Amino acid sequence: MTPATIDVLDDDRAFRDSLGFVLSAHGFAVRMHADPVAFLQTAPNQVPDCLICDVRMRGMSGLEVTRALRTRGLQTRVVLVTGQADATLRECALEAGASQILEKPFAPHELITALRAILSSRISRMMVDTARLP
Amino acid sequence: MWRPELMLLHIASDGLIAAACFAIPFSIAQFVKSRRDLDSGHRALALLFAAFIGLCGLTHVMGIVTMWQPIYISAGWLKAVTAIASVVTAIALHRLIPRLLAIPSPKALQLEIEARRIIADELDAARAQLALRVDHTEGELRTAVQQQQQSDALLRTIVETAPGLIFPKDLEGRLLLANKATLAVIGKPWVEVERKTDREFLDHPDRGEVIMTRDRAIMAGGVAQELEENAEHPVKGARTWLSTKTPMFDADGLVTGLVGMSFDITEPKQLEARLRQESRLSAMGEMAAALAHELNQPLGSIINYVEGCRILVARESSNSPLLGQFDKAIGEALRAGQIIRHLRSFVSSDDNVRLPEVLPVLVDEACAFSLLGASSPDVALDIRHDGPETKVLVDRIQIEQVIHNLIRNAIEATAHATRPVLQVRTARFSDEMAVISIADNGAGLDPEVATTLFERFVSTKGKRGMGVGLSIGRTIVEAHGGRIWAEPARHGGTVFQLTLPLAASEDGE
Repeated sequence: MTPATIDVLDDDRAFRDSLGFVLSAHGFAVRMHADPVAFLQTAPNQVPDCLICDVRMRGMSGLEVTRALRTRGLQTRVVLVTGQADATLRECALEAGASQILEKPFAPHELITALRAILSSRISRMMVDTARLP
Repeated sequence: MWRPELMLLHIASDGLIAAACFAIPFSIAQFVKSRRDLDSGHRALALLFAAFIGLCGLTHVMGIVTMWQPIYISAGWLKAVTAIASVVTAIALHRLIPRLLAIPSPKALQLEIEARRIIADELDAARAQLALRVDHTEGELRTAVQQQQQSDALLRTIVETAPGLIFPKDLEGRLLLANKATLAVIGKPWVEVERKTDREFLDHPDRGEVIMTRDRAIMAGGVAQELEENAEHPVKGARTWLSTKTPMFDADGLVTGLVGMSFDITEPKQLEARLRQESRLSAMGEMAAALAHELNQPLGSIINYVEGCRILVARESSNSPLLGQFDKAIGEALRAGQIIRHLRSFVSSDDNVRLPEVLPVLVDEACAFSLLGASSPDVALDIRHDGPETKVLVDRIQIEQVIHNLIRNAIEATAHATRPVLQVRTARFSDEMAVISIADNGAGLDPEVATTLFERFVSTKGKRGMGVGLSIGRTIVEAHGGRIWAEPARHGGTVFQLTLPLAASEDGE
């Protein structure tokens, strides 16, 4: 089975690189993006399975990116990461359609556990989708 | 030759003369008797004249007698006596002439009287004018006195109704006046403080001496001064006063005393302190929020990098001693994130949830958390609780953060001690408060630093500390209604103490 691909969207280079590093080490295929606008332009061609996205970015917030994906009918699972989370933000994130929100700094196993759960549900959803095919 | 008709002529003439001469002295005597204002000289002269006239009368009687009886010897002696009286009277009369001349005539007297009356009238007029003028002046004086009384009353009303204390003193510091507010603070009636010095009327003469020394300095300087004073109010307790003391000068510019005025600024001060605390709280909240965002990014990166390394190393050798170190590094970075989260937890006051917490449990946990991964694990920690069930009403995360901060500071302070010891104690402080004390046996505090210790950006750690921890600690403790302070420990080192409100639900142990 080919490794699941994870897209990382964060305008903070150090965090983006380090996240890419740790995800690769865990055996995920990683695509890195620094600019939310550019990411959304390429998204229809490379529909991401799972996106790890920063909340506060220049040009566009992680919440807006999530909403934009939903508007386009894309089912990409989104994990939002933020330097500062409060109850309101958590609520907004879920409303926008994010699967999970994590506050930086988070323990690596928290992220991995979240990713595994998302990816397994994606697989089961794919199976359900397949079963519905005529 | 004596014919009867000649004799009759002589006798009739002499008789009439004598009769007249005898009548005149009676008139004179009557005049003298009635005019009591005559001086004795005039009186004597009048009597002499009367005697002379009377004697003349007698000589004429003697002239009649000698026609029939030739008693010339007796008649001669009578004439001699009459002569003497005549001569004496003539001389006396002659001497009297100038004085008689001096007696003014009735006309002259009338003129004189007229002249005097005019003068008298003029005098009367002048007197009347004077009286008018005096009346007028008295009126003016009365008005002036009335005005003075009115302005006195006004001044007194102002002084009495002034919201502050007013207390002028003379050069020796004796009270010249004290309005009601002043007397209320002194707690004595005016009669007991009138013209007395602070040393005499205050219950603490030492305090009075302090005030008087300051007053003397102000009078010597001749310049008004504004100062904040703390004085006990007999009813309201400890109060803070803003006092202005202004020297008084006489017309020659010499200092005659000073006027003291004080306003009770206790409430404004408290309000100011509360506002300051609130603004400090919000400033720190903003700082914490900014810090949180800026620091969490790199902390997250660090964790990711280390985790990546750990996985790569684990792939090479699953029992590498490095793995544990990677885990510790991640643990520390996560702890840093936790601290930032704690700091930020008082950004929005909605997040502050105060619940009754068992103080010993809270302190034990905070100590354990602080010693975890401490750089000097050989610190002996001695924790004792006086009252194992004491409950305090606190935001647990915030107070743990404060204790944690104090313990870390204490551990750093004992870095050079041969046997580092931390003594942590909890106890009841008062009916409402509990106290936590954390003592180290380190080098102790620089007295200069001690006073500004809890100000922001004052660090005890030289360049290593930001000086934020204690300031935040104070803000947190004060927001709980408690207090935090530092003092030298009995056997060297420093004791930090903080008080926290006891939970109301605590009904005995």
